[in-house]
Amino acid sequence: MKENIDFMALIKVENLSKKFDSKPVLKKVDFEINQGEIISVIGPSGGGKTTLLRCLALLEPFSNGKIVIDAKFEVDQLTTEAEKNKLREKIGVVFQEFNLWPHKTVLENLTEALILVKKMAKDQAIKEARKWLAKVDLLDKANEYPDTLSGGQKQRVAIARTLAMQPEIILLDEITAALDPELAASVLKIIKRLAKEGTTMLVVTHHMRFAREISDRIIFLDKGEIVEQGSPEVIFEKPKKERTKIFLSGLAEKKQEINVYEGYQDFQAYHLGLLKRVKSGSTGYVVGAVGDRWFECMENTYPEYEKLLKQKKITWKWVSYKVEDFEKEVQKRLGKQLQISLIPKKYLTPSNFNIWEDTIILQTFGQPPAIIEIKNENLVSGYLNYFNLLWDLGEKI
Amino acid sequence: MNYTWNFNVITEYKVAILKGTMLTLELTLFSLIFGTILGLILALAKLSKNKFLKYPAIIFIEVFTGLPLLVLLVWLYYALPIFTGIRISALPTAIIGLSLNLAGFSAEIFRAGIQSVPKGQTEASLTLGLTKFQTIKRIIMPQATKLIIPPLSGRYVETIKLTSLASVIAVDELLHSGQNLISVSFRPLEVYTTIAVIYLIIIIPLTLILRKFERKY
Repeated sequence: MKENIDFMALIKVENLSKKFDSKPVLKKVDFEINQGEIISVIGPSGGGKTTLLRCLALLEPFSNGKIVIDAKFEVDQLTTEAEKNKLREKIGVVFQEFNLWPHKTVLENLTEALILVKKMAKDQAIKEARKWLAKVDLLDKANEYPDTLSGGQKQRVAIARTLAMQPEIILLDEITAALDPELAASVLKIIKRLAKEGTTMLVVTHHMRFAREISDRIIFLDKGEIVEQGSPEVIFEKPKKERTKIFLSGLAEKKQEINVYEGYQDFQAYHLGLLKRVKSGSTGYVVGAVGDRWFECMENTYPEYEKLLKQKKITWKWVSYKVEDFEKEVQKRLGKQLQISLIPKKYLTPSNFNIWEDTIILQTFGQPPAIIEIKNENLVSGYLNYFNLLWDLGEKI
Repeated sequence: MNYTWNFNVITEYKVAILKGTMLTLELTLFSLIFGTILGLILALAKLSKNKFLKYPAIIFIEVFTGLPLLVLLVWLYYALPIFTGIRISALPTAIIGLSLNLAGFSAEIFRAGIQSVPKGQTEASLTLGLTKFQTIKRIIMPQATKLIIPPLSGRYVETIKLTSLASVIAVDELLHSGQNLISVSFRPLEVYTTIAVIYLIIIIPLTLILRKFERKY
């Protein structure tokens, strides 16, 4: 008798279908997750990625098919809530929105399930929880409430909370989508660490580079069906299906966008529009250039610009080689919202540039003035490094 | 005004008034306990996916929040025995009526509070292996409490005031014992004034305590 013992899948999804009302969102999805494997699910929004993950987490009922866990527990439409409850312990989930419990401290967020589900004694649970907090570098926050943490820290606590239950597999649902790039990095670092340790994971993500780096296998899900699956090399470099190719090339194009604006009116409207677009409380980085006439080019729209800055509590960090009386007055009015670093003339840049969120703005102040707007993730981080270099060189006034 | 106030009647019959006050408090206490428990059960039933729990709960809540309490009490006391042959004495009838009324209103307060807790909180709890009951008790209710306490305490105070309606089915609570007193002493002004003051003495400190409690959350 032949038995596939060595191919025992941790989770086997068979023929899984799901409808919302009568609209199909998952169509006969079939795949396996083996012990120690890391699978990334990629695909366009609304393609069923998150629904698939929620079905695997046993949070969402499905219309057809079944999920087999550990080759012996079958979940289908008839499985009761109580039976699912017992199985959920085996499957850890980390959510996009963290879902930490705000009325409990970081430590209590971890000990709660250890005590109630794993039936640990309180002091043992605390010891265990501290161990996992140390693993995500947050032991010092154990007694704080989640509200006091940054988004990245919250997500790391959520990961520790899931890990502490030692599930057989961890499902990660767009865990960095709600975070700024710098904060996301700290979370991704932890996931890479887990990957090295052989944790079985299913990752739903938009982050292609990350998916490629950590995954053993990529599943491309579109319109509720698995279009293609394979190793990262195959999917990203030699995809066989046309739909995969279109999706991946679409991403590449979307990454970069260049616009040019010319003339006083467009120049002024662009800057005012920019302030309206960026998030309240954000920071804009500006490096002045040779013969910088920015204030003059804004003409009589400048007061409105300043008003918007104040209203939205935007911080304006400015590297310059000279500051005249007019700028000093502005600084007086804006207070901490305008920070200036005065650099020696030899570090002068030939071109003025601004960094606002995902956008680089290059400008000239001729007649008429002009703006070149570039939206590119990589360029932003490069320019930000350059800005910080100049910022540190200068004298803060 | 030439009226000569004479509060002798109050001191003379203070036992009767005290008894009436005690009965009002008793009526309040039981109604609050039963009404709150029933309200919570109704709220959970209304939020349930099971239609055999959900729809009866909706109907129940609509009926008892829609019906004037006075009508409910009179109906329970005079009409119910004719329909069913079961005769319940006045005090339990008043407690049942007040409890049903409070249950209907508090169910909606509980439901709103519970629904204000984001769904993700429950999902995080369930995926960690907590049971539905543990999730409600440990995760949902502590967060919902903040939103539940202010309207619920308002409803509690309202329920105390509503106990006076029990006088129409001859429960010997504060108002009814006062009315009895008037029929023997012919001193309505003194008696009604005293009753009003006693209600205030009960309600004002309670309001203050509840407000302090609200602030704590």
